[in-house]
Amino acid sequence: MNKIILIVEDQADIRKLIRMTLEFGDYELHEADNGVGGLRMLEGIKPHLMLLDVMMPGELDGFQVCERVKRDARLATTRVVMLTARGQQTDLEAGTRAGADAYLTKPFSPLELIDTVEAMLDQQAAETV
Amino acid sequence: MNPLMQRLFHTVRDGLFIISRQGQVRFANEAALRLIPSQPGEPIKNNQIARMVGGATAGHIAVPHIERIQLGDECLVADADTIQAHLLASPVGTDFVVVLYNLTAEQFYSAAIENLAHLIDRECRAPMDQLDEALGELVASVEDGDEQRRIGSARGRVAALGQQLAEQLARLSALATLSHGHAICANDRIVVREWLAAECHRLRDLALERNVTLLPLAGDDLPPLYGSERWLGRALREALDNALKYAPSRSEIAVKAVHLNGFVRLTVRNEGAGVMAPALRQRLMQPLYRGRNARERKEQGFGIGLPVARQIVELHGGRMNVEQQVENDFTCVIELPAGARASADAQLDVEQAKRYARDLARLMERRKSAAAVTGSTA
Repeated sequence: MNKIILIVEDQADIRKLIRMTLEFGDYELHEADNGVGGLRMLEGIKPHLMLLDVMMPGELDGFQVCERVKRDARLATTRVVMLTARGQQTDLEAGTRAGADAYLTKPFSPLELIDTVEAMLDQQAAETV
Repeated sequence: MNPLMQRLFHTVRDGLFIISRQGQVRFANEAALRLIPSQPGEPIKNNQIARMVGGATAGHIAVPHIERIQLGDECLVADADTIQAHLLASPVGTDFVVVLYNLTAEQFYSAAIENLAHLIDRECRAPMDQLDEALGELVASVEDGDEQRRIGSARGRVAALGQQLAEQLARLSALATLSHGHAICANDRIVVREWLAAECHRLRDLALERNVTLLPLAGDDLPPLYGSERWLGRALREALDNALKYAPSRSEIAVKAVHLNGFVRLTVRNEGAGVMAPALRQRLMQPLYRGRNARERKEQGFGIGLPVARQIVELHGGRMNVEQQVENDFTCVIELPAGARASADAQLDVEQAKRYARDLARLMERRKSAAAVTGSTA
């Protein structure tokens, strides 16, 4: 079964680049362009991994979505990688509080993205065996 | 160039040409075509770029090389008359990459700010200095001691007024700086409840002096704001400062935040405003307008605080106005977009795209090798 990845990112160009990169692997990709849309998608799928943008317009930003995912027992094994434009200490602290598993600082390269995704999915698989 | 790379380079916000050593266009992204319409296979239609490429090919120009170039009538972007062209070696092959950055808007605003500063200096500072000097001469020419002291005291008052004027002009200058948005470049994550409490705390001494209580009220579940905490703090303080000026002694100023239709709505509500017609309320948001209260009570200020606040709020994608539901009740309303601002210009820059292109090429190689191994095994 292909691993399911949910991309939650408001910038269409970044979503396009992530999709373009992950199409090199056998992943089932889903996309949402805001936090509320991302949470709504989680009602229908149970992703192995979420790539979650920190700064998004609207009601929920990435940290708030991450907090809700981590509180949901159904998604206990879902890994969350935060996509941040800044990599500042305050972001890292907020992400740690929200329960994020890893960070990618924009602009990340395709190799960084693939390496992080593979590492997270390996970790997730080892945990669920 | 393969379609994947083309898709990537079309997402770059700056103009990007790949040009052969013979000066022929191999590739142009969408932004470049808006600046210099070109066809692949044809010579680049800009003499300066053609000269730069020719010079670099002949070894007269070392790359990377930067030059300002003029765009002609063929340019499809309004106001993009002078731009900066960067000539770089292509990451792959022997071609050149030319990156075009449009500088026109920035140049225009820098000139406007410079003009404003010059105007302020000419119109206000020089006359104040001349007045101060004239009073000095008057003191020197008067022999009577009492008269000298009286004129000396007037000179002191003029100096103090000059200082106040300079402060107000600094605010006006801030308004001008803000008008082109350059001051707002931060994307701080602002947790509303903590932010309101902190800003109210900053004005605690002024509130005590005026015998007024500031009451911040915000829930834990509000969406965060993204923007410049420094400038948004200033906007909120201008609203609070205005409320503190007119709130009666022993009254309360309620500072509330709620989430409403995709916005965080902040309200600063005070008593003591009298009645104000809607048209006059809107004028409070215009620079240099002062309400009747301010004039009657001889409050200091030029009527710049609220307009500066409104400018800051609008530069963050929000809106600000004043409301009055009943007599003697005055509410300043600031609505800011919940979460980060939707970014229209979130495209990659050239360096990011070059890095991405290199890595994509490696990934494609990796995939080809994996396919070859699978094929030979089969």
